[in-house]
This record gives sequence, structure tokens and C-alpha cells, in this order.
Amino acid sequence: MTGLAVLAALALVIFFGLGLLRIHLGPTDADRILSIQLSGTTTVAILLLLSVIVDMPALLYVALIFVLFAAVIAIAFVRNPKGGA
Amino acid sequence: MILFDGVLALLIVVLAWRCVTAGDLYLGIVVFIVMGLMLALSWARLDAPDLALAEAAIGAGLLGVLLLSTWRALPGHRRQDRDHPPARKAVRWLAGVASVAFGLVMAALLHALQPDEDAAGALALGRLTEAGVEQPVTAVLLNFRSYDTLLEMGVLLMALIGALLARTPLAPYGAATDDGTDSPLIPVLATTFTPLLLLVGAFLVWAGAYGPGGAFQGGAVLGGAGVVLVLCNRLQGAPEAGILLRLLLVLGVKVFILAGLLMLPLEGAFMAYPPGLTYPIMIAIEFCLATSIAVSLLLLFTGTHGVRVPER
Amino acid sequence: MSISAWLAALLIVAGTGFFFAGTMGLLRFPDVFSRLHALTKADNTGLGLVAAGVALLHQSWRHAALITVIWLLALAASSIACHLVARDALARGEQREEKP
Repeated sequence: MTGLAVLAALALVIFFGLGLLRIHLGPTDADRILSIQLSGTTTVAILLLLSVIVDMPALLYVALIFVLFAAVIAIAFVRNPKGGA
Repeated sequence: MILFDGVLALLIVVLAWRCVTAGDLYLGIVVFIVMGLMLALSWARLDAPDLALAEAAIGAGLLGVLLLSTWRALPGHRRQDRDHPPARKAVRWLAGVASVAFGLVMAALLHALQPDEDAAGALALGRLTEAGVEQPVTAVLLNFRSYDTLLEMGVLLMALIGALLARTPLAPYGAATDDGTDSPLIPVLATTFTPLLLLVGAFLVWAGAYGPGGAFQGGAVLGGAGVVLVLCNRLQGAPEAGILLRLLLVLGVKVFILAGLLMLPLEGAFMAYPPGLTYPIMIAIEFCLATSIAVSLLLLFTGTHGVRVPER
Repeated sequence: MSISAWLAALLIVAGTGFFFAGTMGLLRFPDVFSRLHALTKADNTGLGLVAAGVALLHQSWRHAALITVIWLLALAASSIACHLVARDALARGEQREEKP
């Protein structure tokens, strides 16, 4: 069973690498932030699989933190901290 | 699994290369954040969940947010203004090649290093029961090598003071705005994600006693909650720091030193805790450290001396 | 292998398939809005399926509950993020590509 999880993790990390092409290509800033979002979700999935493969439930907390910061990164991308006043 | 590790390592090297040689500031930031994701995965593969947590919270999370916000605050971050790359191509490639060379030298040196069998690690693990907490990393950080952690807190405080002196604030005491994208979801984000970040942050600090987690990881997540509030306009930078904020800033260092001094007459050594009280003292210290770390990171984000609630 | 293991395997494979679709969508779709679409749909279904499979493999209610929370948060974070990015792209006047 772990063998299949390893294969799935390998596939996901390869998709991650492919998704990076979009960062390279762009063309807009929004595309690149989307690429971060996809990479983030893929990383979360890999972490979930790894938590089974190496039997390390603590990796679930790492996944939790990534999920929480995914939204913060998006909001940092659209919000301007520069004051209007 | 070796294939997975290989792809992971390859991706990290490629990302690091792109991060240094990126012609565009924004591209460099994006690559840096994605590299943080990969680094967290590699820490997970190296059996170091503590570092994976730290990388997730600080490296990819908070630092990414800080860099993105800094980029947004730069004049001319829009695409059409970006004709001038930040550095000449030759400089960027030189930086890349120098980084690779440095990495290779470090790798060779570290590889040649033979770990000492009777090193401190084995000694510390053997006496873990005396440390008061089950988690070896926390035991080392807060008990066996507490001087290091105390000085690290001092370094963080110094960094904050230096940053406040050196730079003009990102938000010149004004509120966060976004040009034309004032989404109705922004308040939703503030009200749902802030409590969650606070909860997870506090949990991580607590979890540091018996599993992966600890003051630095938890503090970074707590600081992230503050950053969300600033970005959602529930908090804003202020030119003056209130007395409460100052107290919170130095709380970690103060309580750490105080705990060390108070036990001096009892145990005869600075920072030696009496056996029965070790656990509660360390938990208290850990929460104080996390609070100070969170406030320091928040102020590093706003770049101001204080924060206040904006008037409505 | 027990039934739950088979089910977990099925879920993980299906989830990985969705990740493949999402990545391909991100790479192949012509403009930022359709890429957004590919990403949110495929990605979160993919994460949901992988999460369900992993939760079955963990065989612990605590971990299963935590994995469910992670997935729900991922849904919330991803929908908020994509909404914000789409609004930002619209405000900056990104054009929709008219494919010939």
C-alpha cells in the first residue's frame, strides 16, 4: 500500500515541477500567483501522503500551516499595504 | 522513494538557481515562495518535522507575505514599469555561480566532517527525562542550551530595532488599501482566518512540549494572524508604541532572564530549574517567547513602532 | 488487502489524476481566467480525494478529523484566493483570450 502512496507522491512532485513552467512563462503576475496556489495545494497533498509513508503525523500540522498561509499569500498579493492617507 | 528524493533535490536546485538569476523582482519572490514549499518537503523527508514546520510558517508563509507586500509597496511594481531589471545579467549570473560554488564547498566540507560518537547529542538524549519535556528539540532549546535561545531572542529584538531605525514604514500610518479590488470576502477572511491562525499558533507552542512545534513556529503563525489583520484593515501601523506593546515585545527576554535569576538561589546556577517545576516553567517561558516573537514579526511587517486599531 | 485499503488506493489514484488535470489546465489554458478555473476545480477535488484516501490509511479518528479540517480550510483558502486574484486581474484589465 505504501508503494502506491510513494508512486502518487512521485507523480505529484513531477506535476509540481511541470506547474513551475507557468511561473517561468507568466505572462501576468496573476498567473504566477496561481502557480503558487497550485504548488501549495500539491505540496499539501504530498505532505498528506508523506505522513502515511514515513508514519509521521506531525506532517499534518505542516500541511495545516501551508493551507492557512495560502490565503494570506493571496491577500498579500492583492492588498496594498501602502496607506491611502 | 529515492526517485522522489531525487526529483525533490533537483527541483530545489533549479528553483534556487532561478531565484537568484530571475530578471524580475516579482519573479524572484514567487520562485522563493515555491522554493519554501519544496524545502519544507525536504525537511519532512529528512525526518525533521520541526524544521518543516518552521520553514512552512516562516520561510514560505510569513517571509513570502512580507516580500510580496514589500513588492506591492514599491513604486512602479506594475508590469509596464518593469523595463529595468534589478541588476545586470552578468551580476546575476555571477551571484548564481558564486552561490553554487559556495554550496559545493559547504557540501564537501560537511561531507568530510565525521560526527563525534560521544557528542553532546547522545548525552542530551540520555538525560532527556530531566529536561521536563518529552520533545528533544524543545528540551535543547529551552533547557540544555537555553543561553542560545535567550541570545536568539535578543538578536530578534535587535533586528526589529535596526529595521525600525533603518527603514521607512511600508504603511505610512495609513490603512491597507487595494486598488479597485475591495472584495466583500476580505472581512470574511479576517473573521475566519485570524481565529484559526491564533488557535493553530497557540497549539503549536503548546505542542512543542511533547511533539514537533515550539515557540518559533507557533510565534510565526501568531504573527501571521496579526499580518492578516493588518492586510484586512483591522489593524494599522502607528508611529508610537503603547506601553502594553512594548511590554509584550520584551516579555520573552524578560521572563526568560527572570526565571533564570529567580531560581539562582535555589539551584545555585543561572537557568537551572528545580526538578519538579521544570515543566510549568518551560511552558510559561515558551508562551512568553512566542508572544514576543509574534509581536516582533508583526512590527517587522508593518515597519512601524506600534500598531493600533483604525478608527471607523 | 482489506476493503478500506483498496478504497484508499482508488481514492489516491483518482486524486492524483485530478492533480494531473489541474496542472495540465494551468499549463495549457489560454488566459488567466480559464487557468483559474482549471486550478480551483481540479485541484481541490484532487486534494479532497487524496485526503480521503490518506485519512482511510491513517486508521485514527483524530488524524482523519485533522485531515478533514485541512481539506475544508484548503477549500476556503483556495476559493478566497482565486476570487481575489480574479478580481485583481480584472481590475488590471487582463484580457480574455479569444481562441481562434
